[in-house]
Amino acid sequence: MSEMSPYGKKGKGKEDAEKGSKVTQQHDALALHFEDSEPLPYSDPQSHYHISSSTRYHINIYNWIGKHSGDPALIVSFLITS
Amino acid sequence: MKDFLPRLKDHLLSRLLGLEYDSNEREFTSSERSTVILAGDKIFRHKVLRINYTTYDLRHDQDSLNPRTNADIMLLAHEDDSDSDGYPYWYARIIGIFHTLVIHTGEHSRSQEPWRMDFLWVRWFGRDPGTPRHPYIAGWKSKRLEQVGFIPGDSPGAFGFLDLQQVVRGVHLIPTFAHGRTEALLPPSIARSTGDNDEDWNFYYVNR
Repeated sequence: MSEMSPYGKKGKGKEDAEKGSKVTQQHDALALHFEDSEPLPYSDPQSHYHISSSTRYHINIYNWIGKHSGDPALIVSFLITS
Repeated sequence: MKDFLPRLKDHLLSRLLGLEYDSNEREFTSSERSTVILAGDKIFRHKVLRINYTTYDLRHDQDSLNPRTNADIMLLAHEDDSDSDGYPYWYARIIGIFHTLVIHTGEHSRSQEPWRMDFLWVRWFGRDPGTPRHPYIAGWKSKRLEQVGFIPGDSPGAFGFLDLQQVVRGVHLIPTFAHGRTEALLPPSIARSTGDNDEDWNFYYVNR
């Protein structure tokens, strides 16, 4: 839980900035890794769920699908271009 | 899952249109799908998901879930009455936690502004029915836990997208060690964690 502390947010983000970009390129698995920083502040008890609104770990959907076109979890028979 | 993107758009579109979530995932035509635009062609991954829920003794509790170490969830079953045996829950494993900015165009659009939508990509469990001669019976009377296993990767219901509002809470699934592991349910895939060694447990007990 300590990694989600709202107080650590600023410093941690900076520190991990370089590492973060490398990690996203390296790992194809979808789950972010332990060392990927995404602090999540205190959750409002009134809302049913809470996820970060960070845009740091973004995926271009067409590139990503193209890269994993053979994966059985997202078999793509044809690529739709926008 | 055939065609990640069309299925994602089907999911987003049925939410945008306010359709009720049920077991029949609605398929839209490609022109209907084209009314859903992902801003910048991007989706955003997240590390953790928190769920607030009410415990059996009516207290507030919170589950912290993530695809890496604590990925199993339960939700209410949305079976048609005809094919339901009254079992109240569905179970799934989170593959990814995402948000995206959606622009909805076309005649049903209510706004031209990008609209944030959160979703999960999940791998579904099915309940173990046992064999016709030896149906699997669980419950207090039989003193056995419910048993589930992954739906085979080549069937259409193996993967899906979920509105996070549908998640009731996390669930503790215990591998049924006696039945061992298998590669047969899904070839190597990004849907699994790297530590799974491209295998799944055949079955899991539901420790609800």
